[in-house]
Amino acid sequence: MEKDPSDNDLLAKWLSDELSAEDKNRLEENRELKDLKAVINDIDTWSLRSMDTSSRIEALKPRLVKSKVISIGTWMRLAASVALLVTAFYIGNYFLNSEVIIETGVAEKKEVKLPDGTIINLDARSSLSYSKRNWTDERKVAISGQVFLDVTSGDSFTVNTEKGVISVLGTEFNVFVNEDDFKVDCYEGIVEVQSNGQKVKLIQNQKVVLKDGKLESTKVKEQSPSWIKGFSSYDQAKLSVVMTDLEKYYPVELTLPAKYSDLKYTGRVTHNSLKDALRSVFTTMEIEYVVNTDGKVDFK
Amino acid sequence: MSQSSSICEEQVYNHIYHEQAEKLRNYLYYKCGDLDKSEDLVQDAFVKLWNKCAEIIHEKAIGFLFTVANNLFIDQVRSQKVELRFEKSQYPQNNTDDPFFQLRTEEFRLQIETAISNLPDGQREAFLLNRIDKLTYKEIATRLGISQTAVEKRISKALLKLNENIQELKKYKI
Repeated sequence: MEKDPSDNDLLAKWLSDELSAEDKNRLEENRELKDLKAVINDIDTWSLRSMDTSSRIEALKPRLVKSKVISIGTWMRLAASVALLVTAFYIGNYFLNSEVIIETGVAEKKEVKLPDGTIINLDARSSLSYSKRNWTDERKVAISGQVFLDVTSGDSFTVNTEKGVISVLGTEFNVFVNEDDFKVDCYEGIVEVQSNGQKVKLIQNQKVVLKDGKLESTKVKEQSPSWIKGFSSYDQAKLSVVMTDLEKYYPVELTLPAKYSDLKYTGRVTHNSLKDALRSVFTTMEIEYVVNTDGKVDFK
Repeated sequence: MSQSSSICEEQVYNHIYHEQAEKLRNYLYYKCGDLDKSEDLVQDAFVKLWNKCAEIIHEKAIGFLFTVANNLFIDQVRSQKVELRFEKSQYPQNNTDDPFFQLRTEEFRLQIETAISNLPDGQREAFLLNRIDKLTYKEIATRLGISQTAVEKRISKALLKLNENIQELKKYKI
């Protein structure tokens, strides 16, 4: 429209009347802007049917857990009743939606079989939820943490996570999601991953990682994830990352001195023996440690 | 630390609902073209806000609602093309005293509606939030989680496209 391309960028400011008189006059030399303004003036009068918020919020009330509504007040009271709320929420949710929620804590692993025969393995500190009632209509689960899925073939199967959506048709794949990371490994079949407005299709032996908001694909060498076999494999991983994993698989507290946290570790760490795990990480790096009876590990 | 109003308090939560629900619904409508589905998604988003009410401070509630609604929206399989329809005031037709009468015919307005529906998602949402919901560029930036400059870019592009469409339609009529 304009000979000068940067004038096009000024259109938004022209619309909100934030241009200098000089810029405004220059832009408005173009007669087409008169038509545009007339159309915009019309659009400004358009509307959508109004929303009856009073009745809609009333309709919403049953879905807001009752015990929470009662528990108004100071933060202290809220903290004290959190345990009660969590239980009430799960029970209420179950009866209202037939929603199944499965969680693992530290050092826990669970295998879950879904109504269609799909098997899901949960790593430590992970969760899985799905609605039993809707299972015949559509297969949809929500997960957090790390899970490995072996999906029976059939209609689409969808996995929802905070960082993205994964759709599959009969495959084996691994999903890892937490505050900082989102990774999907495909071991068999075809997996479609959606995150941040991007879509990537994975086939056997491909994986995708969310880095700086972009989905990056690479290859996977193993046939199935190592955590299923009971160990973690590291290749030049920062010690701080290894610490986080150790605290996930064992009920310990590791306060690693800052001077060690950037050291790199290569090797395998078992999930089945704390003694062996600590030995394989720290003895090879010549870091002395002491395991206390309360589960805290101190370093020199 | 002073106790700012908590979303877990019914009064505060209700207030947020009355203030933001319709804007959120409209935003979702601009994305999918289905008013009922949009209202359902609004309800889902507000349930999520309630469930996390202890973790979200009042000031962050609006951003949270729009982000959650966006994520819920991504879950839906979008099968049909977006076709937006608005309620419009009536203009007296063929009033030749109006220099822009050609642009006010029922037919033309429907074409403009289609042109808006065909805009790329981001541009369409930003443009309509500004013109229909009367949100400032700054307010739109907060809701969509982007910079104000990014909002202005989207709106400028939308205006450019609309201008093209208007000129094309005018030529066709003549």
